[in-house]
Parts: sequence; structure tokens; C-alpha cells
Amino acid sequence: MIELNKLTKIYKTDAETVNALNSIDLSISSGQFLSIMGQSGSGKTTLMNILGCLDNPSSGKYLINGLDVSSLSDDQRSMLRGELFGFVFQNYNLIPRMSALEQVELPLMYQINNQDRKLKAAQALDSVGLADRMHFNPNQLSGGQQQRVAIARSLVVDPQVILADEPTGALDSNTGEEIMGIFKELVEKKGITVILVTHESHIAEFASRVITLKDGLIISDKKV
Amino acid sequence: MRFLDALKVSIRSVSANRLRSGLTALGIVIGVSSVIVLMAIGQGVQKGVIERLQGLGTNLIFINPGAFEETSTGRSGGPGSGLTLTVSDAEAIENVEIPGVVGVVSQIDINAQAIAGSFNEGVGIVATDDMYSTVRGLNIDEGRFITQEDVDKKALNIVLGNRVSEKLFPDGSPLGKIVRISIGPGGFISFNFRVIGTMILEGSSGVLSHDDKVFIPVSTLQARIRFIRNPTGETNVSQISIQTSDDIDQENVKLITEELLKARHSVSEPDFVIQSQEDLISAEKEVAATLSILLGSIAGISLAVGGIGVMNIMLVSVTERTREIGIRRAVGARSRDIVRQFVSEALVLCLLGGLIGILLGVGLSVFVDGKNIADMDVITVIQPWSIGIAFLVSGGVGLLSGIYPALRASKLDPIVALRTE
Repeated sequence: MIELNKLTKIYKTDAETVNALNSIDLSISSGQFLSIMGQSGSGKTTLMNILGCLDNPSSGKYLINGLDVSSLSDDQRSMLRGELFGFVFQNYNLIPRMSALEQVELPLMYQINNQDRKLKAAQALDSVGLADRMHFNPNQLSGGQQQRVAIARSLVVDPQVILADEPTGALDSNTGEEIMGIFKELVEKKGITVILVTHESHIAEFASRVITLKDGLIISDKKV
Repeated sequence: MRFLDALKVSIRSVSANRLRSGLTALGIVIGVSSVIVLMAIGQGVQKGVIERLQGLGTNLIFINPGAFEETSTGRSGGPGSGLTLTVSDAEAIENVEIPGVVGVVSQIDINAQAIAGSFNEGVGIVATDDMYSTVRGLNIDEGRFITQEDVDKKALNIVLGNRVSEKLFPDGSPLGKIVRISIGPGGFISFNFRVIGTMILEGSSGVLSHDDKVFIPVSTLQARIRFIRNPTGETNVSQISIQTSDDIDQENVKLITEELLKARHSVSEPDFVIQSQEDLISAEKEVAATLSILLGSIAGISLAVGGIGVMNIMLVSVTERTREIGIRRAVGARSRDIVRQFVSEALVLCLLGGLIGILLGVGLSVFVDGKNIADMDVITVIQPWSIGIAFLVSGGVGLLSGIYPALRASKLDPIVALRTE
């Protein structure tokens, strides 16, 4: 479903030119659990941003379900983000002073068809085990619970792909493994494609396929 | 994002930061309420001036000596400055019987002291004839006005304006009592007059009011004071008033009168000024309108300052909520959704301030109406359209002050925004 063809991303500053991604070819099929590993500066976050339509490649092709993303307008990419992708971040990225239910409702507000928002949001929270925390604000929730809210927020639009950027980075190892368990379940039960960015190998091993980036190049691609 | 959702989000974030929102809206509250109050005062001044001019009588034309511009005789100055009108001018106007003219009366105005017992009061003497009360629409309280007989006999009879009567005779009726009138420096010309009548209170103040005047027969003044006659033996007058009927074109009367007086004075340019009541009212309206605009502009400046305050806070808010903007972009918000959110937030702030400002402004206007502030009777007239305009302007201020911060917010790179702490 995702096809990268000679994808390149170049950052230019006054002093130097950095090839964050160097002509990457990658194919991700639907329902895959993929980890992207690499040191900081390897280009894994850049790749993730491009996959999530938050950033544009400098050259090369990025096709989602056969659609060339680089030809889309800013608005169209926003719509694509809202409907196809769910995002989970290391620092949860919840909005302060907003209840869990409202956080999860948020992506539905930006969709054209947004009936039954409250119900859908409540169901998403229920599916991550937070039915009893719906009206709590982020500062009343533990790190693990906040990350579950973020996962519920990514799930509420029935996404095809969930992009998780170091989702366990701020959590202790037990909670981290719980979160990874949720991702595994989403892949196995709902057939959602999960793309995980991490630098920890034991987290990466939850996935069924691990690719490793170094200096903007894929240096290994293995099935687990 | 639907409009209603954007509104809900805005109301939430405005109410999340109550103190800041309140202080920001306060600028708009002050701006809007001062627009309403100052406009109401401006309108009140206009109403007061028109009422006072209408209180002079109905369908009047006034002729005053002097001219706006330098005349052929070399005389210059404003109306009232010269000595070009005479009693016989008034008689001449009456004698040609211009169609539609129902009354002509002349008057001599002199300042004097009126003394009765231990009371001493500065008054304006109006020396005139029996027509004056009819033409100027004055009403007698007690006794009677000057009659033709008083004029013929050069009688030492006097009619008191209401306030003069109250001041000189605080206890009891002044009818039949003696009032001493002193004219000139040190009061070197003094006569005793007998009070034959008093006038009803007009209530207005200023030079146009009859409440501070006393009325005596013009013939009495002519007989007693020689210096009011000019070298040709004519008596100069301060003003001639012409009353016309309702259905007549006053412009025509003005024109005929002007030609007549120009011929009598043998001048090519008028050495007098003819103004109808309508002329005076429209001139005063213009003055009052200018005042309204001036007051409105001052209030408008404070509204603009309030708008700058809103923009400032919106810019702060955008900076503070950069990460929130990034999150919203990530979950599918288009840049125009972000614009809409911040513009509607500024709108909510301003309309809230506008609403409170309208309530405050209307309340204040009603409160000061009729009150005596700094020796002035303040009249306020709230125009419904000024409320509508105030509301629209506060909405406009909201839009203007919201657009720039909102555009800035929408142009943020989602990736950078998400990483901001």
C-alpha cells in the first residue's frame, strides 16, 4: 500500500547541505508491523514525517494506494492525514486542559462526515482500556494512560496506518511493553499497518519487520 | 471544521483563561461603551440646541445689523456689530405687507441692573412693543404683556422674565411693585418701573432665553435715553423679527425684505444679516454634527487601542499554543481550519467585549441623562443605529485583529510546531 521510489530529502542551510534521506526504495504492505531503527540523525524521523504527509520529499516518489502524494496540495495532504493516518508521539502531544474524550474527538472535528463523534471517541477510549478516564485532563493521567489516550485519538478515524514516533521513549519498560502490546493487537486484530520509529532494539522486535537506517540509507531490512 | 465547532473551541479557550480574556475584552468594553455614550451626548447636544431654537417661536425670520463681509460703506464685522437697523426699517417692512408675513417686531437689547429692595440682579432689557409676545410666542404667567397703550404713553411699565421675577421678589407677587433699572457704567441712568406682568418659565438657559430678560416699551427707552438715537434722529434696533404663516416660502420673504432694506440703506451689499429659524437650526445642526463626529472619533481611537490589545493577546496565544496547532494539523486540520479557529477566537473576545460595552454604554447614557454635571444639563439621546454600529465595529475589530495572528498560526510548519515545547 505504501511505495517509496528513490525518495530523497535534502535540508539546505547556509553552511551545508544534508541528505537526510538518500534515494530510498521501500515497499510496505497493508497490515504490516514495521519498525524503523537507527541512531539519531539517521533520517528515521524525516522518513516518518514524509510517510505521515507532514513533510514533502525533495525528489523521488511516494505512493499511497497508488496515489502520488507529492502532487497533492497542502489541504489535500491535511485531509489524507486526518483520514488515513494516526499519529502517536513520544511526548504524547495531548492538548492541555482538554478531557480525554475531547482529545479523542479532535480528529473527527476536521472530517467532513463527523456524525456520532462522542460515541466514536468513547468507543476508541474503551478499546484502549480508558472507559473510566474519559473526563480526565492530561495532567490527571499517568504517562501510560496519556499514551493510551493518544493511541485512542489515532484510532478514532479508523486509520489504515498508525505512525508511532518513539511511543515508549518517555515510559518505564513495563508500561512501554503494555503500549507495544496494544500496537501488536491493532495489527493482528484490526489489520492496521503500524510503522514504529525507535532506537531501542527490544522495542523494535515487537514488529514483524525491522529496517535500519544509517545516514539516510537503508542498511538492513529483515523479517523477524 | 464546522463553524459551530470552531465557535465552541473558541469559547472554550476564551473561558479557559478568564483573567486574560477579561482584561483583553475590557479594552473593547471601554471602546464600545465610550462610542455609545459620546454619540448619545453628541445627539443630546443637537436635540437641546434644536429645541432651544424651536422655543424661539415658530416660522421666524431674524434680521440683525452688520454684515458677514466688509460692505461698500467700509463697515465690517459680524452680525449684530453695526448700527444699521432702525425702528423705521421695521415699520417699512410691515407697511409693504409682504404676503405671508403675519407680524413684524423690532427690539433694542441693553444690559442693565434691576434693583428691588435689597435685591440686585443683572438683566437684559428688551425694549419692544406689544407684538413681541405674539411673534416670539411668549406666555404670560401673571398680569399682562406690554400693550400699544404702554407704547403710546411711553409708560414706565415693565414685564419680568421668570427668573428675574423669582430673584427680585422671592416672596409674593411682584405685580404693582417698583423695580429700579440702572443702565450704563455706574448706573448713571436710572428709572423706576412698575411691574405689570411676569412670564412663564422657559427653562432654557443662555442668551436666547427670555427667563433672564425684562421687557419695557421701546418708546419709553427712546424718550429717556437720547444716545440710542443715531445722528439722523433714527432709533437703532438690535434685531427685527418677522413671523410668517406656515404655508409660505420663507426664502421669498427673505429676498423681498433684503431688497427693501438694501434700497432703504442705499447699499448694493446688505449691511445686515437675514436668517430664518431654519437657517439657524441647520447651522446649529452642523455644529452639533461636527461635535458628534469629534466625540465619536475620540471613542473610535479607544476602540482601536482595544483592538490592538486583542491582536497582541492573540499573537501571544498563537505562540503559546504552537504545539496545539501542530497537533491539530497532524490530526487533519487544514491551514484554513487553523485560521478559522483563531479568527473566531478573536471574534468571540471582541463580540463579548462589544456586548458588555453596549450594556455599559446604554446604562451610562441613561444614567447621565438629565443630570447636572459641571453646571451643564446633560441630555443624552441613544440612537439605535449607534448600538448596531458599535456591535458591527467590535466584530470588525475582532476580524481585523484576529486575521494576522491566525494567518501566522496557519503558516506554522506542523513538524516544527509539534516539536515546540
